[in-house]
Amino acid sequence: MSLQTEMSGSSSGSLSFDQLYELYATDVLRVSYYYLGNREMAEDVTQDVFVKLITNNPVLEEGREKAWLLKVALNRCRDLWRSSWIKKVVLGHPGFECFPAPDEIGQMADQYSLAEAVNRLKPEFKEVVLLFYYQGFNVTEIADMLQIAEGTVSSRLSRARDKLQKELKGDDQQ
Amino acid sequence: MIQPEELRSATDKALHGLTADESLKQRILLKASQNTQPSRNSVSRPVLKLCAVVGVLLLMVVALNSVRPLSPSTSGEMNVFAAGGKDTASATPFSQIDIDDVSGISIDGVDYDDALGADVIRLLQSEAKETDADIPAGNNYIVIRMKNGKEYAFGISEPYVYNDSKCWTCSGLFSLLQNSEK
Repeated sequence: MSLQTEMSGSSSGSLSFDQLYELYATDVLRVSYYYLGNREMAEDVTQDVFVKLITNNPVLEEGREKAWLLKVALNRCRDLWRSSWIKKVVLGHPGFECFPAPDEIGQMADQYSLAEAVNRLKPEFKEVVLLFYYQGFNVTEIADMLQIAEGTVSSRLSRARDKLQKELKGDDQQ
Repeated sequence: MIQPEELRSATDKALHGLTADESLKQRILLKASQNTQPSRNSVSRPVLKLCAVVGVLLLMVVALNSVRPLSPSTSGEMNVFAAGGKDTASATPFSQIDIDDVSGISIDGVDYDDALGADVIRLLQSEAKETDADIPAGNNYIVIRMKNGKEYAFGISEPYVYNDSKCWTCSGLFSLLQNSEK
């Protein structure tokens, strides 16, 4: 058996690498993209996450695979975001570029506004919004993933919601 | 106005074209295979580190030997360099390695040994007094000349007056030498 086949067949818990990649790689990529605002960096983060999955082969609880992958991705994003080199040289003021479906181009103004507003949030707000609204995790799960108190998650969500609504109202009025 | 609750559908639509594709998967598999294969580097790196450490140690031995002879000094000679290598200097004005010359010693009758040398070094380090004037002639001083050109004078008689101030701290050295004569 070739090394590649062996690796694709490697599993963490009940799901194989191939299955985990099919199910969650796009989510990991998009969350990372939201966080960093840079496609290449987001792909690098996704690569790091899945390489770690293969090399460390962690024992993941059933149903907790996505949480593990996103937790590792967010940690990596946070590290990159904190790196002044990334902030100053690569990202600068990260923009947000949409990659719409061909038939959605005409109707993307609203989606673009929301995506861009989320992208402009500070990292600590952005990550709870992404996990709660985009990935559908509840407050307890997010608190566990980010190693913060549930109250902190709720408060960040509430403040992020206020900020988003203000931003989006501003867009509407323009 | 679009609401945060619609983020999932909005994002899916906005980022429809951003998907983890087969090429990214191949990149991951390639990277993982590189990480798991025992590379030549991972084998040779510890050997290189070991060689570097041994090399540095050898250089240190050579350098130390050129400054401080490893062979013991002759009996009765007050040789600060041969203090048994017990360098206790840290925040002191000098260390054995820095010492360039020692002169003005008159300690006839003292049998020098490593333990005494180490004690002398310790005392000199704790009682160092930098000279800022010409050293008076005579043999009741230990004058230590550093490689940086600075000189330190230490009286070995009590009381010791130098530059209009008493050097009481040097009494420790005097006592040590007196006791050694017994």
